[in-house]
Amino acid sequence: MKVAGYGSLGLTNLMKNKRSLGQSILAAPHIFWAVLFIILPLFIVVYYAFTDSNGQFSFSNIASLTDYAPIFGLSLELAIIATAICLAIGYPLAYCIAKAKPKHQKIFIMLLMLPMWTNLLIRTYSIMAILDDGGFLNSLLNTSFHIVGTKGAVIFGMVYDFLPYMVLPIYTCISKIDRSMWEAAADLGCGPIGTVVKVIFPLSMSGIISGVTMVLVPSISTFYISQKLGGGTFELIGDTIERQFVTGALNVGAAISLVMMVLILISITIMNRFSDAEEGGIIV
Amino acid sequence: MAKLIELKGISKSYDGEKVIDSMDLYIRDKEFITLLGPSGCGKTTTLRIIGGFETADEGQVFFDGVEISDVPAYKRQVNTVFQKYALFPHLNVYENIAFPLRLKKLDEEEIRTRVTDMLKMVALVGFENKSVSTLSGGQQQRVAIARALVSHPRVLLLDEPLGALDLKLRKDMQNELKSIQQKIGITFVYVTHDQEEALSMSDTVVVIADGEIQQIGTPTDIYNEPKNAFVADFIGESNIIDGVMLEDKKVKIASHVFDCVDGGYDKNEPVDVVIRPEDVDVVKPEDGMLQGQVTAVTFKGVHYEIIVDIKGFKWMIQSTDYVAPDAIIGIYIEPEGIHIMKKSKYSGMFGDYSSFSDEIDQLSDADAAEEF
Amino acid sequence: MKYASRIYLCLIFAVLYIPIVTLMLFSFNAENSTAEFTGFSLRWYIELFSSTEAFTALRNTLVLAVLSALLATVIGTLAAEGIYKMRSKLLKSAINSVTNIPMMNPDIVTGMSMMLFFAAIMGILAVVIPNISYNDIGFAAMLISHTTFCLPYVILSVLPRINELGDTMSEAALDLGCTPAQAFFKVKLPNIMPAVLSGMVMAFTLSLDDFVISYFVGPSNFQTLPLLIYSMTKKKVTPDMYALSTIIIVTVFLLLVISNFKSEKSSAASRKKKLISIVTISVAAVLAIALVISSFFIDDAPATDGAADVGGDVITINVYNWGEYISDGFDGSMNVNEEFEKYYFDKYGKRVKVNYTTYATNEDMYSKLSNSAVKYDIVVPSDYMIQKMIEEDMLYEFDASSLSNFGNIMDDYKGLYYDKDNMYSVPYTCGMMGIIYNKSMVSEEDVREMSWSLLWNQKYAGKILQFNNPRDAFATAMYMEGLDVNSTDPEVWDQALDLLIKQKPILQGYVNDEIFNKMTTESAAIAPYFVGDFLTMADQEPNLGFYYPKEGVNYFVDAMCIPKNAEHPEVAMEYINFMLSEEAAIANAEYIGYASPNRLVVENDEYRAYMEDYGYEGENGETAYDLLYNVMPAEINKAYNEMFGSNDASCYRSFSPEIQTRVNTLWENLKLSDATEPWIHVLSIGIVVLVAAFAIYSIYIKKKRSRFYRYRDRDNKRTAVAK
Repeated sequence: MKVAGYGSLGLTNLMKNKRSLGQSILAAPHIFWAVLFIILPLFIVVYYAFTDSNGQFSFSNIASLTDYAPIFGLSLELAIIATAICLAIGYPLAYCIAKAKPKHQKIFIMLLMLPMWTNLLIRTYSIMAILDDGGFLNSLLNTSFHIVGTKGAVIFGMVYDFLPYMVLPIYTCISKIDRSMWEAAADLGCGPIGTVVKVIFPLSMSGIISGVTMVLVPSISTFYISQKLGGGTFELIGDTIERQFVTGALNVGAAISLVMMVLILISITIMNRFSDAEEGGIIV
Repeated sequence: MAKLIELKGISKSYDGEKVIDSMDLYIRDKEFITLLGPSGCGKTTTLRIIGGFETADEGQVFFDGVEISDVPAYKRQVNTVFQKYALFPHLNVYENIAFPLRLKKLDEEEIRTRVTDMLKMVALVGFENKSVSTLSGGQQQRVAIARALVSHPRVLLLDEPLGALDLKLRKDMQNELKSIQQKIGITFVYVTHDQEEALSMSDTVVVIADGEIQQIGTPTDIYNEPKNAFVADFIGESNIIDGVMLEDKKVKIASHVFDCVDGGYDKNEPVDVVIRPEDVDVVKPEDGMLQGQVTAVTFKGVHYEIIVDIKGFKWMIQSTDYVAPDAIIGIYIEPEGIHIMKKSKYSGMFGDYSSFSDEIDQLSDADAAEEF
Repeated sequence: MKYASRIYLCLIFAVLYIPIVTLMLFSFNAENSTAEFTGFSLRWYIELFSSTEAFTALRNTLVLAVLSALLATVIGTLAAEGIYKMRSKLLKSAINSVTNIPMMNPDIVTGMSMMLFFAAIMGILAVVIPNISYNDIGFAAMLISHTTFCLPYVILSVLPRINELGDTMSEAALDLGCTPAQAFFKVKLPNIMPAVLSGMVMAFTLSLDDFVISYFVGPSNFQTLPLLIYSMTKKKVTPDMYALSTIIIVTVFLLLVISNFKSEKSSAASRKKKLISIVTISVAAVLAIALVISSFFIDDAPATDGAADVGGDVITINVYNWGEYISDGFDGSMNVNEEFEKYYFDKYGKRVKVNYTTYATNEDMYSKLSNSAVKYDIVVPSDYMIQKMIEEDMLYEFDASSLSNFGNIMDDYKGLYYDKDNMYSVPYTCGMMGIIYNKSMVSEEDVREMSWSLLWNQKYAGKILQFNNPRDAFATAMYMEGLDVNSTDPEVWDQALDLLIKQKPILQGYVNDEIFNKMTTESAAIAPYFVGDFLTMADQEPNLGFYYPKEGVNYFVDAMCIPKNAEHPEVAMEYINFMLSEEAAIANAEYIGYASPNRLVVENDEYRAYMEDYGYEGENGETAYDLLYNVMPAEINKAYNEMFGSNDASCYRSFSPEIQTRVNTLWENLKLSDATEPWIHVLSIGIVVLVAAFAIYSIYIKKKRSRFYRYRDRDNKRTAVAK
């Protein structure tokens, strides 16, 4: 390690500065890595998005994106609904876990994470076996609900697969709230529900924001769940990109990716701004 | 003054360990009462039972004659200033104070007046828009007090509120708290492990140890007439010496018979004798009631603290006159300076200055308090 | 309240675990089905443990996860310390934003960007090193990609801990005589260890679970478990994957339980330390067990036995075939690849190793071959793809008739349209498309029509399935209407599209391999599919029937070819020749269930008996053998072929790029048509409006409430200034 050269030089300010400078070098491999493997590939995406298959500069890929607006819209809509459901289910879940005994908390979190060790594709197949027209659920209830192949099933799949991403950050956030916050709220006249609404909810806003981000982004871009649980009757933007990749239409695929990335990064920035304003910079 | 809060036979255990053992206590209206004791003695738990954050295993809590044992915290007419203030970081100073008023759905005008009054009282006018996390410890403390007082509770509970402040600020806040209490005229229940704080602020001091009340009284009573060795030692400095009551107003200490002012003991009953360091006069060896050798002298500003070995027992004496270490001196004690106590379970545990145990105790107290 | 929360927790966890329990159940299924449980057996565990492919994939997944987690942890931890030490706030926030990109970006975009990036790298490398193939850098590409998307999680985990720790501790260490390096390793690192470890575990889990990025970046010679499973979904997911998932989840569960149990017993102080060490140990244990098992099973294969002996002199040939498309030694069948290795050694005294990987569609194979310059020795494309590859000069030219066993191929399968002189390909299997129906759900008179129009029959709305790929789906409409499936006229395609759009409302779905589960569980009643696969289904669900529609059907021939850039074309030819031999061909035919073009197979009595015994009996008592061999495509397609004046018009030809684009667009239109459901709009817009209203309301309230003290603040400032 390079910094070792500075040896035991004492603690004067000068040395401190020098040392700080020296130790920022530690970030160098990462910076190198990030430039090479994060930024550069993105530029290549931009390059592909603005060229045709012969490498000529062209706006046609971007222009053709208007055709995909409905797919974009549908993906966004389903993702929003799935995220809202995840939040509605996940927040109480995170709250209940955070309020459980510490010993139990660990078990609950473990149970929450465990399904993630099973492959996503296998999980989806398993859901299909349950929800299909002739699946477990229908044969058990002796009904003939048509679930797989509807958008509802896709939303269910998204919620099922991404729920842990919503619960974990919210749980972390709630469990970090000091007990005295609960007590102070009660002390000042807040009932149990009032406490959650007026104190705990605003205090866990950063967890909610990151949970929402972590569910929304994969939901928008998923391409497997929609194919299987959606019965293939409609396409989401992830499916479209995958199809472009398979059929070799890389330029259009790159253009869609680029637009999606820009949209998502913009909305995340807005969301973060919003949460910063809400919290007045408390959450560091 | 009427009893406002009354605890009857309160017991509480955590994991099978008894923290409060059938405690009876009443708190009068408009008084400043302090629960004083070392950490882990059960004082904070008592406060939390009054506040409604804990339920007692046994016993009842009465408020203004009505049993409130099962009333949840948010329905009690008491407010708390928490140890670490528990200000809401998502609200600014104004909104923190306005919080309880908004719950009552008061109109904006009313809220504004009352919050402003509170801000004036705690001298934080102009800080309304500040985020609470940017405030200093003392300022946060004031916000917490303002927030707890804004809804005009009948009782304010304060859980070691000054523990996190530095010495100078603590002194200022002590005065301020006392004057606030006098101004608004409500009951303050104050929890601390700092005996000086307790003595200087309170109308009534409740000394608690091992989940039991050791003594209740005015600060003067507690200081001058400690009931047992624990209280005597915990409140101020004291030499606690084994003695034998020969008859009323005659006590034998270290084979010397002293005159004293207490009576009502059996003949030849062994007792604990408390002698405050400032009540001992240093005299020439031949004039002294007892003689001993000086083992240590420390300059304390107003006086010297002198440790004297008298027949194997280390006494502490405070004197304005300097004595050289190793000198042989005599001591003289007025009868009023001698306080007799019945023997208790704490006898023999305190009051000898042969070690620094006292200071170490206090240090560990402070550590423990921080952990809480 | 407490009761309610307990019920809620139970409910959610129940829903969360029902699919997990279901998949565990199916891992013990007696039949080859992931939808219908027929009985308990350990068959799939046995299959799994004899499957080199699964274990290679598992080992690859674990190796990749460990390496990328380690790499990400080292870089990330150093970076966190470096970022902490940075003075410039601007630089700090710039680095943080860049770091977070892979986390914020959808996987698919990261995957896409990585894929394009490595394609560009390949372009550069190809100039410097001729003959380089993507496989040479494939593992590095995977490692880099995985490390890249794991990095932000490590930094996100470590950086807050370093911030929290502050400088005092390392300053104390420096004061006591540590060098900065020592201060970091002896004092800081132990204190941030929990965060470092949790970052590492997170990275490990993410890498393990990643499918999307691997899908875009993965080379053909490095298949991970998620990729293997995905490739199966195009053909058929078998329960052995469920068995593997069950083993993984149970192992992880047990380790977590043990670590939990142990840490509970210990004192509070040492608990944390113990927990960390236990987590590390358990992760290491999972790895060790998996690696030992996998290497045991992989090395146990005779193929590598030989390889170990001879060392570097082994020739490796890369065979790239469809999934489930070769007899692999399961259940006493012949392991064809191993037999070839033995055969080759006996004949030439040289060790050869077959590196066998699979693909799911012709297009997957094609894009792998053309995008990444992969070097394969054998591929098995379908007819139209062979035509396309010949046109694009991607195939190695060899004279098939020079192979000693080529004479085994029946004449009908020689000189087909795509390869008139048999210079590039040797047929492997062939199959025909038809309609599968459920006898109890579809009325007899509808079946008797023997027409494609059954797929458009309103009576069976919601019970009909359609292909989830444009080529086959369009073909069903085109055969029915007597349109040319290889038309170059866009309008013909538009016509077909109209039919498909008309069909869409009565469809249950567009499906790939889900067809197996849907038909056998009677979720659907009618589906077009291939005869070989139908036989597999019929074996499970006797209620299924099959017919070849009278209007004409597609038939395909999958043939073995040698890519132009193959490294060992001679060995590949030897391999092809071996596959034509009686034993190998019969083993494959029995295993795959498709028709064989090999005379020795068709005329073999044992094989015939085997197929006639198959669990299928047609309406007129025809057997599986009859279905495969006694109905020739030429007879069915007679009318259709005459229409277009060619004797193989019903066979697919490769599309011209224009038509390809056209078909893709039409397919897109089909998927988009009528995709809107009002409730989706209402709900999603409702949510957005609600959130926006909440945000605006809270801002409004805040402003309104603060009106008073905001002025006050300003006044204060003013007076302060005045003073």
